[in-house]
Amino acid sequence: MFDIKVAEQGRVVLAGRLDASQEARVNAVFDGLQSPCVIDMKDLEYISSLGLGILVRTQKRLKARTGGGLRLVNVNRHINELFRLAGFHQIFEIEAHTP
Amino acid sequence: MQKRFPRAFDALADVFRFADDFLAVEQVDPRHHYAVHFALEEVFTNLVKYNPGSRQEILVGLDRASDRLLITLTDFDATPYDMTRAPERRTDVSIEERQPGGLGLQLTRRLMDDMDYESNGRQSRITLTRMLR
Repeated sequence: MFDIKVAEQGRVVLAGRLDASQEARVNAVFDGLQSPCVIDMKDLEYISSLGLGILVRTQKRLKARTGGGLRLVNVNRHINELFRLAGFHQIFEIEAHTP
Repeated sequence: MQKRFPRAFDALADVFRFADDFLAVEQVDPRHHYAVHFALEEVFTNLVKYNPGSRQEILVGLDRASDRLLITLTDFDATPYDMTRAPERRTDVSIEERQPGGLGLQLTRRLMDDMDYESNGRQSRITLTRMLR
């Protein structure tokens, strides 16, 4: 089960499992982002390489266009470890979830 | 434990359920579950993505031998491609230099302790090993 919503102030809220079968839904939201914003991952349990690729692609586009980018917040322990392996801490502002 | 799955992204939910059943039966520590799901999805979706026209199902196998977890994916209709030799992306560069995509197999190699590829005609088999320590 996966859910994606755009909440107040353009905050994007992800929940559940973001796997390759969700590509169209995630692209539809991320391709529409035109300014720096917060991606809330509090209820995101899983993200696959498809999701990582969308985050990088969006970050490149926003940085080039606005100079700002995505802030990834409430990141769970497993996803934070994946971000570390992918070198995301060098290219994103990341805040881990503190239960 | 083996099962065949349709060659489609929509089959992923069933692949994950199959993995969860195995992990529960084998009482595998939950700290290994994410890596198993990530590796399974990465290899499965690569097999789907690079031969979408085939109607052959993909065989997924899960096995445990002591502290060794083995994941095998067999494609009976694949153009030979050794995923274990996919080029590495640099992860220590600025966002301007980063290339989107290509991270999945690289991360799979890091999450697994071994990744092996065999090919025989149209049949390809990828075996992933994760040590449960």
